[in-house]
Amino acid sequence: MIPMEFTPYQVVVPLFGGLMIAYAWNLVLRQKKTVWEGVLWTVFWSSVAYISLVPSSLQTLSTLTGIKKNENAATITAIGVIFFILFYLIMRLEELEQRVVKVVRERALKDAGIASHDERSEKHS
Amino acid sequence: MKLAIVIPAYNEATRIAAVVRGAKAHSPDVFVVVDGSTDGTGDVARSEGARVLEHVENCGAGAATMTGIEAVRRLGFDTVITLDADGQHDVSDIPRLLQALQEKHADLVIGNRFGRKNNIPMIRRIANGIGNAVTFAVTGIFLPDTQCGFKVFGPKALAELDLKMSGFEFCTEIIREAARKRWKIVSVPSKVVYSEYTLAKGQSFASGIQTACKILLRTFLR
Repeated sequence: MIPMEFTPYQVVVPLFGGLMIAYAWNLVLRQKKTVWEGVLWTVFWSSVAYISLVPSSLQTLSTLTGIKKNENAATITAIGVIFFILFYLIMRLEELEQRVVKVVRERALKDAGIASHDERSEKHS
Repeated sequence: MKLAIVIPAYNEATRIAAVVRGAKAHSPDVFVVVDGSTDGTGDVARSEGARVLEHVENCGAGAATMTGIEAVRRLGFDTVITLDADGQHDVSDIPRLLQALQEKHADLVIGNRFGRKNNIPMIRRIANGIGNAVTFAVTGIFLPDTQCGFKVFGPKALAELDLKMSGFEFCTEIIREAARKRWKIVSVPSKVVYSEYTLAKGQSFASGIQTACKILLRTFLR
């Protein structure tokens, strides 16, 4: 049952979820994500928004996992946030790795005498 | 058809000569991408007549494959075959893969090591099953063997391929690219020869799990 009075959390989270869904489908339309990924993102953020609007829906989850106290839920949430930050850092590291790979690749191609289209154009001009 | 064969290799000095010789029987243009090897793989490949590209650092199978793809693209080839350097694939399957590319108007043909009678260890079957499941989860495409290194890229796929992942996860990324760019994929049964050597060189079960986590992370955090 959706409550008639909303807490700020219940307003911000669904809005953020909506924004994330819009962002995902924008990426799908620009062919940067597949339709499948768009669907997965929609399911994930819709669930987050629904849980924030109807916290009692977690009752089933609570029964399944045995997490009954608020403190336990807070601990689990904190661990989740730490994992998210860790994974985000891993992603950033991978981006750096990609830049290194790009440099290594260009050097390998250059050493093999295989110039890029830009380099060939420069030579001819 | 202007065909090239790309072989990414890391410390394969004992195996690469036979693989290059086999590949040369199907195309004179064989490119070996030596991925930071320290055992003279590049010299052996060169002596067999392959064109060698050398990474100064070990960057991973995905990075080496993309370097080879970039090289053949710049040289004007329109079709490329990728092969593992450890000799696990049978090059006599090449004509059948090329036939599938042409007759079925495919953009990407992938060898299917499970499509015929091959002696594949159970642990490999499980690891490949997980790879297929993860690939399905992130792309929505189910294929019988997504992790096979024996592939043929047609003109469209060769022109559009852009791999970002450096390690073994590039196999899943290729399927992701196929889904995004709407390539037609065909799977063709292929022979595989596993030995103690190839089993030790390939992905272990643990590294397979690591690869799966990386793919899932990249999909959801991008």
